Amino acid sequence: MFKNMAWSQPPNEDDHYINKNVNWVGKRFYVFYVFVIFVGAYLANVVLGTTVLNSFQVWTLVHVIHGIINFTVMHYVTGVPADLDNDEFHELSWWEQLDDGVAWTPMKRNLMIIPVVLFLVVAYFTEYDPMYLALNLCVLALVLLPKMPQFYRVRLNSSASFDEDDPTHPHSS
Amino acid sequence: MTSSKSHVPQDAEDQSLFTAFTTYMGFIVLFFFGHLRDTFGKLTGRSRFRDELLVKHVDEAPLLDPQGGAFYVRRLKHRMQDCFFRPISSRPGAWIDVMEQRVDDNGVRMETTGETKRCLNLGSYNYLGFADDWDSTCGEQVHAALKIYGPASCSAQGDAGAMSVHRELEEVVANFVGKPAAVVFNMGYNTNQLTLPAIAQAGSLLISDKLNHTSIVNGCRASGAKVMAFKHNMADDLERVVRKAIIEGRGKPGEVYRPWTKIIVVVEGIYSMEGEVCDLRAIVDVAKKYKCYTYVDEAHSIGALGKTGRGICEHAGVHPDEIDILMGTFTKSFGGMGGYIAGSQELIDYLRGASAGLLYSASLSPVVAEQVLRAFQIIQGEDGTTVGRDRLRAIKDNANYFRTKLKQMGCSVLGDDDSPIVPMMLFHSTKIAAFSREALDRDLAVVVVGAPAVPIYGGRVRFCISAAHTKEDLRMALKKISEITKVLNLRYTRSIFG
Repeated sequence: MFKNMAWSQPPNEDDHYINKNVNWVGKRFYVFYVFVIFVGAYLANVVLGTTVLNSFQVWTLVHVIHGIINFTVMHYVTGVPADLDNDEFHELSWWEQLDDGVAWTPMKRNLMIIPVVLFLVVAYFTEYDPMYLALNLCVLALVLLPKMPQFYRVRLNSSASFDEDDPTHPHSS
Repeated sequence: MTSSKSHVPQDAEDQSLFTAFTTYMGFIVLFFFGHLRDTFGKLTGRSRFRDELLVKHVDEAPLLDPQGGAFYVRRLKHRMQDCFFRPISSRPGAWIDVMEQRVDDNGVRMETTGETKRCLNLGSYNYLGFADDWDSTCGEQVHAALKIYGPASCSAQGDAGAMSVHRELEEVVANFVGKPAAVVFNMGYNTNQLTLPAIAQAGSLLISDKLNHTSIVNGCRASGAKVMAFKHNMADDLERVVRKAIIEGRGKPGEVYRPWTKIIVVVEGIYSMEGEVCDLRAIVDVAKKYKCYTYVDEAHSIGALGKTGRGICEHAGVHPDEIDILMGTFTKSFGGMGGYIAGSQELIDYLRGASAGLLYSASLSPVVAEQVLRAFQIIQGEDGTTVGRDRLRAIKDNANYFRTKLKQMGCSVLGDDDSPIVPMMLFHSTKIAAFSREALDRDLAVVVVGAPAVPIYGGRVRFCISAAHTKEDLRMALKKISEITKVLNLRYTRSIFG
């Protein structure tokens, strides 16, 4: 079990070759992330909350959609979109590429905190109704578990890749 | 997030929140639609990238790495393919003939129509204007050399390709930069790529600026030495990296301490994507304090910086003796091709036997060498005219004028004064394509830069000012750029919305 763990020495900042797919994350991105969630929640409430769904359902819907997008973008899709330096990231999801795979860096902690806070907010607004709480907890697990270092390189049966149909690359099993 | 006039957004850290948000949104939209189209293509088989998307079973391993199969190329780059790879059909002087292209199939195929468009050239490295009136300044000597030497040297310097014109050129270069000796290569990129492996090997340490050119990065990699980077142009960070390297040595923590065989600090004179001048004095002081060697790549600064064009050393007030290896190219200011290394006599003698570029690669064409020689004579005033001096002054004046006017317009302009490279930030990847097309519509030929040459949030247009541009040309260009900035909202220092 310990073979796959990726908590080695901190990422070497002096290393010249940095993964351009992940090195742009910064404070502005976190603000943007939270901002988009708020805007999405507001729009969902305005469009759906007053017509089709009740307030609990709207919040749960926002949480579920956030969970799906989060999981797909950060954990399902692997590889890098551009033909950068080498193929070493072909099998790694975006999350695993962050900080060279080192766990518990500030960036990773921030990206873990946001879904947790969102869950708490949604739980509050659904007034801890057991049914919605259970659903939201499942979604939180879906989002949070792959971010744990124990799940480094753990895969479901299939995963999409930016260049999965490239015949030179062996498919991951 | 600020709208004060004094704050200039330089890069991602400085751009306003609005710009950051819209840049992210732009990428999200592009990626979303790209994935949507890819998924549609995979499911239905109806896509112009059918060959790349559908899984094939092949009998043999494919020869070519599918560059075009990358998502980025398929869904992002092809949308703005017409902004790059534009063919020209004239000299790259102050005015240039750009061949018009018809874009088919949404960027996958491009064909030239046969028409050309006369545009103001703000993209070529024609710093001292040698491309414009070449016939009158250098033509005679070069034609004479063509008759004597022929167009090619047909051999490497180490074999039978060392010609008298090369020796002359090497002496002139060495005198010009202030070093005892110099050696000339046939290609600027190769000068870095094939010298760094000769002077650094496994066991050495190369500390290079984070934003160094690809030729330096590849040369460092090819050398087998350990490569570390320090924050762009920050002498404090260089000191931190050097101290850490010397203290920790070659091995991992816990192993026996092994010192580095040598440490070489590699910087550039002018950084071509930022237009910034190197903080050479501070960096050389740090290197000397810890007894590291310095290697300065003057590709863009030789012939363009300094009162007499002697490059970054003259500009920064550093004596050439304080720098161990000076490298430069003849492509930019001298209207030729090739590169040089200048240093001590023993370094040059060593390189002649150790660098692959001198042993296995053909030497510089004698015609080009004569052209560069003639360019040096003009710059130093040895041809009896003041053309060189006028041009050196003109390029500084033009660059400063252009830069100041752009800043007054409210644009986010990078780089230091006197630098002939004027990059203007666009930030959004979509504005990169828009700017390029708007400029071409108004007869301006510009070079826009996007990822991966610059960070994904750092799209920019890079203007290269030449001594051949007249004030009228620049004024006209500025008027047109002013229109474009209004249309595209590029005035980032004036308002947070650009």
